[in-house]
Amino acid sequence: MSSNMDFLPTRVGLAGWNDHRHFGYSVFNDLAGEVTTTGLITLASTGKLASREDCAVLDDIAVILTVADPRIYPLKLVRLASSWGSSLAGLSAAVAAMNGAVVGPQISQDAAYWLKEIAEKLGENPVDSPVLEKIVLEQFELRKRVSGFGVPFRNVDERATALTVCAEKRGRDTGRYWNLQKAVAAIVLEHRNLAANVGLPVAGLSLDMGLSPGHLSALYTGLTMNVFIANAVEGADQAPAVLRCLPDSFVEYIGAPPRVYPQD
Amino acid sequence: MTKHTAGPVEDLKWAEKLQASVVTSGLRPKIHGYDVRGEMAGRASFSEVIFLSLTGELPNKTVLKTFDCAMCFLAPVSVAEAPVHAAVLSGLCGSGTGGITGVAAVTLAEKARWTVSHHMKLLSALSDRTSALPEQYISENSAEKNETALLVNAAESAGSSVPETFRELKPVSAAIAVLFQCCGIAEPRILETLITIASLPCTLAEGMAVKPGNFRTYPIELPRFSYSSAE
Repeated sequence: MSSNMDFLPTRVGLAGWNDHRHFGYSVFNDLAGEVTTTGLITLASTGKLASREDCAVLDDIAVILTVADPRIYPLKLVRLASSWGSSLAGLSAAVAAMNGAVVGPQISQDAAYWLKEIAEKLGENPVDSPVLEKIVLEQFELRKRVSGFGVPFRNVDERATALTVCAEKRGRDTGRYWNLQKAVAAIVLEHRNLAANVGLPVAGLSLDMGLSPGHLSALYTGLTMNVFIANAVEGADQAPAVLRCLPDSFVEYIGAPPRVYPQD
Repeated sequence: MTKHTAGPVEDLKWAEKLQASVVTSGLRPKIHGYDVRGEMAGRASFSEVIFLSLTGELPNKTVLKTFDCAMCFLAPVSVAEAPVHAAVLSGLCGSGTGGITGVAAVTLAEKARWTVSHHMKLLSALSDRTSALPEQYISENSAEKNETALLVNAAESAGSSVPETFRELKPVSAAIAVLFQCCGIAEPRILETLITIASLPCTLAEGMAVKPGNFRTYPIELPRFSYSSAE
């Protein structure tokens, strides 16, 4: 029936009787016992197996991004969606809400695209050259919003600080993009009084691992599912009536005043 | 474990109430100020409530009838299209109403976002009013034009003055143009939402019509995939 349609190429998977293929690997013979969950998520997002060393860096990033407080907006949303008792409803809502959001993994992806653009414009110039300052400030003039900057409600993103410590411990603090993001962050702080958030160093580390910017949103959504899962599971277990419907006294209406519906 | 110190949530001042901009809470709820249960139920149509909810204002009779025409026109969506196909698969997997609705809503909204983003030049030309309609939205297919004519004729019967050039548009482009020009719905996000809402009932119904677990009735090789391990 579909013989006159083009085949859709895929590298993702092929189901068999006794084994399955995944990006060219035998699931049972090549991957089982060898690849970690982080390795699988990275393979899924990038199509390439990451080295153990890169997986360790990605684990560091995932751990540092673990801010699971249910009061934080995307996580509160998970609690609301799971408040009738289904953890998967909470997870579905979480993933749906991240689609196009200005918070979450999309920030690292956008920051990585931006760092790549800066690196191209910088060319062979060193990161401490005045050329970089000119490029960065021009970019800020051109754009309304630059991903990777701005730390709501605090002066410094503690996750960026913690990630820097991890990068130093693992010897990942000498890469081209790591140094570039540090230099860019310093310029923006000095001239715009705007601190970098964790999205920027995550982008720097990712680009130094050879990851493509376009893969980062899916990769970090996958690697940070733990915060959504934790809230979805606890939220579904509790299924609290107070989240299903807040008392009226906690709601303030700020819309149009009462109006009369026309008789005709 | 390391001892935890307070964070921004404890140390900063936050709003204490959740703000609502559309609906009052409690009994006799009002939508944008109108008593929906006390005054609108029995006199207003559901599409009037949709229009009011999304635009903040009641439509006049001509706009409401034209709005209904455009929404009816956009309602059918075939199983060949990804949102319905996805809803059918969700039903086949035995997803509950929540699963089917979630899948249908996300996929329809993606399709609507894509559709509206590909109509920005049309919206711009319609705003300009003096510009010719961009060629990419003009149909060269007489059967399609006949379909568009059904909408234009219905909108005219509803009392709207529809530019003759709309008859040349592809059907979905014509529906967007009618919503924009005849119903005054100019904001892309609202257009996306309306396209999603219009198609949601059919999409859900198709997803719920499938017998859960009846996998052998599904054409698994449609379309076919070709696996390759090469990078």
